[in-house]
Amino acid sequence: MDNLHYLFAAFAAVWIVLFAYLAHLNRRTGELGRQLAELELKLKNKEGDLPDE
Amino acid sequence: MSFLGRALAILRKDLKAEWRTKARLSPMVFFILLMLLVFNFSFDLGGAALREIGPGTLWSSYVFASLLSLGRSFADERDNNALDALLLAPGDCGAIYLGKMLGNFVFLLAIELLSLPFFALFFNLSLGFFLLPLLAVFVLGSACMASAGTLFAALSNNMRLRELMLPLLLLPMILPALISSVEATGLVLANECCEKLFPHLQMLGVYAVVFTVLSLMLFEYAIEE
Amino acid sequence: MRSVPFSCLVFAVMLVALGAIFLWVPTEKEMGIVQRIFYFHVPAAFSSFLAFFLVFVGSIQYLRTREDKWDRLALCSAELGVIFALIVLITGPLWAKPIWGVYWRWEPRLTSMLITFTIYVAYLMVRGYGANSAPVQRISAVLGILAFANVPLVYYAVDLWAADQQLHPPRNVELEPTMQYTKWICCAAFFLLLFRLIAQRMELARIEKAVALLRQKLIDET
Repeated sequence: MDNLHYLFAAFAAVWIVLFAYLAHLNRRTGELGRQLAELELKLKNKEGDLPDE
Repeated sequence: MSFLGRALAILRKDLKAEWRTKARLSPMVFFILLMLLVFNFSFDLGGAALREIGPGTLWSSYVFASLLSLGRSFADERDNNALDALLLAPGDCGAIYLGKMLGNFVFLLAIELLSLPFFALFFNLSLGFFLLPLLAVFVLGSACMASAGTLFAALSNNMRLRELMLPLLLLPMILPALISSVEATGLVLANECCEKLFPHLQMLGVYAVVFTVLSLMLFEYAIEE
Repeated sequence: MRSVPFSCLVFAVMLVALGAIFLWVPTEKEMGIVQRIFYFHVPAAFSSFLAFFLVFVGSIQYLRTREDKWDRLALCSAELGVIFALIVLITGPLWAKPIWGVYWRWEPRLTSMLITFTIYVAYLMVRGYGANSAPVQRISAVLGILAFANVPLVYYAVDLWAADQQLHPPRNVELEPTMQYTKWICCAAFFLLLFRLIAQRMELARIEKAVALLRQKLIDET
């Protein structure tokens, strides 16, 4: 049963790949949140401009 | 004009343009000569392993030359905005694919046949005996390359980084045809005929038919502006 | 598929699968404990092919209807298919090393999986360069169809190429019943996880597109 470390490595690999993918999704979600905040800010500025016109 | 008539008209136009400019044939044959030189120094082709790496060398140079040649197949149309005019012509645009595909097939086969003497010379092969089965492999291999290659050339034509994308997309797709071509060539050169050879030729035929049919169906989506 | 009950189901089946792999199924006689890699190697392979089939379906439907959701299905399934294929390609060599003595052999199953993997990585590269513009969606749909049509050809050619040097177990290997059940539980767990992740990824793609459209609108107005 000295092959246990190969089983461990394969199992770890599955988790690592899945975790890396989730981290990638997380990064994209974060980027999306930033864009959304930026859009909100622009929209607010625009509304603030309106009474002057 | 009938479907076939329009395809043949495009084929005629491409062949005439090539005959006048020789823009694709002569550079490609020279390119293959250069590839042979590179392979010679990378693998030391003089040794006894010649039979083993011969077919691989042959087809590797063909594949790279084909990629360069296929990349040019829509270049003239693109540069002169002639593709729009072709697309405006009435009728099924599958005919454009068929015409272009036949043109590419003729070019690829011509490149292979013109560079074959170099291989014979450098590999010390007397081709006479092998010529007929080898010709069958070349015809089918070029048909595979042309059928898939023409569609991918059209696809990458309106992509950014098209010179880079064509090989990236086409190489993995062409691998099944390449595997069988190399195997079949190896069998021919090893003088093993028919029984073992036939499944590989069949594979090449199936590949060419599948990609031609799919391309005829999908070409309008590939080329649409 | 992003509902809480579905997520709970995915979680539960994954736990049962883990239990089956490590507590229930007997150790294989010849290969020993390392054979347990089988229970996530094979389901991952099935899952990746299921994902590639979804790319095919999404691509055909996109060309027919031109609806964004089908394009999203194709894109997100391709991404997950590549992820699961990567799992297959990593766990395979780790299983091969103790059994065959080497990590990699150029034999049919490994070679065809690697070729399939490269085809879909190329597909993702096309998508990566063009964001979500309509021409890129159209080109990708054509690619998605061709890629799937090519898979059987890859298998056929590779089988012909190296039929005589096969060490990899065949696809229809006879299994002891407990092992068979464990395999199916693990397949269920992987399929559910695949669906869950595709749904998650599609939702992200949908929001990304909406934000991009909104941004464009705002720029156009100012």
